[in-house]
Amino acid sequence: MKKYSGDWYWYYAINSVLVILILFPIYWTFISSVKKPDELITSEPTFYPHTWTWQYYDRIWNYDTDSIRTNTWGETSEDEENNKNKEKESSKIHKTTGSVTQTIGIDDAFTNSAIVSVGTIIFSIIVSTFAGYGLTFFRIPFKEVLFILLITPILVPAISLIIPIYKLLKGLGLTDSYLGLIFLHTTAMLPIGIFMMRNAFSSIPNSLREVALLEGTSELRIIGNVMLPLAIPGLLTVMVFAMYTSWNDYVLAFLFINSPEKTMLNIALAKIALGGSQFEMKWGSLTAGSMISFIPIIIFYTLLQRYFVRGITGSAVKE
Amino acid sequence: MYSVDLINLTKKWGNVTAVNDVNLHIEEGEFVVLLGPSGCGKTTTMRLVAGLEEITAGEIKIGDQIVNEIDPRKRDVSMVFQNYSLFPHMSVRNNIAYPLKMKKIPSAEQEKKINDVSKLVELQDLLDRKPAELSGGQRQRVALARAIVRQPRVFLMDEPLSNLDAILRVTMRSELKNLHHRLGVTTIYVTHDQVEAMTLASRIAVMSDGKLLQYDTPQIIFDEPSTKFVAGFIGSPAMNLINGKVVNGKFISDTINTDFSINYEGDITLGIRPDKIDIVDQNSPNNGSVKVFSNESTGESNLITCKMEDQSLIIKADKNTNYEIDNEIFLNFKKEDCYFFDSKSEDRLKL
Repeated sequence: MKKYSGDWYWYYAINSVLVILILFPIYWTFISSVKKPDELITSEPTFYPHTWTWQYYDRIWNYDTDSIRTNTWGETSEDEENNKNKEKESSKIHKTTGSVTQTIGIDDAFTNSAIVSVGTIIFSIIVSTFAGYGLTFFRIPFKEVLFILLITPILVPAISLIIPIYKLLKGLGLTDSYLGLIFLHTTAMLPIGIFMMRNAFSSIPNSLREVALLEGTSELRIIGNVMLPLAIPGLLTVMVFAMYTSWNDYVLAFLFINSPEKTMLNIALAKIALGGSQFEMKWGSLTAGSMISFIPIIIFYTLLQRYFVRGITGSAVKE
Repeated sequence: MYSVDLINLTKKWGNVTAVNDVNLHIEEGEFVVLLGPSGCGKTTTMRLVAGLEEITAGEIKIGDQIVNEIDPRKRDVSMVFQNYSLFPHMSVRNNIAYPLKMKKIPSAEQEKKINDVSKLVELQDLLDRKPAELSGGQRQRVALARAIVRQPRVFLMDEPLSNLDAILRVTMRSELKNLHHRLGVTTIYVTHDQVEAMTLASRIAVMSDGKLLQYDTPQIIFDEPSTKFVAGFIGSPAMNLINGKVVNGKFISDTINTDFSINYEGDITLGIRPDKIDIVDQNSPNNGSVKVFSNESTGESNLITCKMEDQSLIIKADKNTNYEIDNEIFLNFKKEDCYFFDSKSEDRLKL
């Protein structure tokens, strides 16, 4: 049995407080998404819903935004099916007009975000792996300086570089495209990705590479056959970070994607929330949409969190 | 079979010269040991042969081919590392098969070669295990099997036994010797352990500070060391080296003064192996007296350590002798057992 020190309950007390602090907003989002409107917008909010409703989920997923705007929330209309069809048509018309509040259904926005996230994960893995490998095993002049230069952008907020980035993307013809956003997310992700992969490779003895080298293995095959199987925790950590960076991004997606049909999930959610009549906040739809947007991150993180934690601590303490 | 030639081989790291103008000719099928203390450049020399380091100056030839500019992938040498360097995520079988897969050898032939090699190093029953499930000795055998399975032109070993415990080291040593006899592949072996060097080598290259000091058979290196360093490095316990000077043809130091005549004048170092020193009666002719500092029995002999002014002396005495600590003993040397070294250049003087 492990012996606990006398202060163990402090550990639990402090951590319980932290857990509550972190989980409370998520809990509040959740209960707000299942409360009926009269409970949701009230001067006496409760910490639990008296009556549950899943209507926001249903609507936000199944209807496009115009239906959200025109529908009276809180009432269950009997002729939903008819409404739905009708309003989908009307939204199509609106789209061609390109009105400011116009956006797409959350299901399409979800797909858009998924495409960009997967793209970011793939690009991040490829670039981080090659950079980390080179920085670990190759003899490059001023390697340490190079490494520090590569990871310093962690300190620079993307928002401060918006104008040059915009000019750059414009020049490349990549504004308002998935690829452009994927590049931006990958770039934002790379300092930490390279750092992670370099640490993952640093824990592998150089002699493994040399053995493979003397047996005539090409550098690419060394990475594929020998190094990556041993750097999987690092690789998965990079994947989680890439997913997190891309899925959670708001500013870049907001600034660089203009076409309504390419709207990212976070932007779509914001537009839904603000899409009602003036000064009206659609709390129910926003919270339900937020809950849906949590799902991929929660699944991804739950599957990989074992490696994620190991990847981070592994990079902090080198064996 | 291939010979290996190092011609004026030099390797510099910035201002540090790791390998300094080394010339070495290794015959086909020879087992050459590079011996020296850590940092003497022996491992660097081996890595230069493998192509893992770039040559600063000089030439390396494998067979008739100059390999300076040839990629390590194409040199057709294989190497065993001190830490074995097995691929942890592959089974023993796949580890051994790795070189064959890289050479795209048909799988039927692969199977046959793996079986032959694993029989040779007695790994037949362990082929499906992962390296982590093996003992140190078994891992070392896997590393050997992987290195020999494709029959390279040259076989390089970088202190392969130093991670094993003492008993296993002796066993593996004899296995290595047997293996080399069977395969006959030209082998370069790096170690700092002079016993390994003496037992395994067909020739030993003693290195110090990046320089090759002596290159000869183990027996000649033992009997005729060319420098003071070689003399002190080879043999267990090591040769006693006594600093002194020759005045009027006689050797004089703090405690030891010989009576035989030496044709030399000036500072000199006298070397004598521990088993060549006789302990004699006070009354019989002797070359000096020392106090016993400690005595250790090894079972077959007694090792007596004596402290002189600023150096110590080890005497290998008969096992039946018993010299108490702090007792005074009287020593006698014969001239034919003594080696003389120049105090400055450390070269051997034949006097």
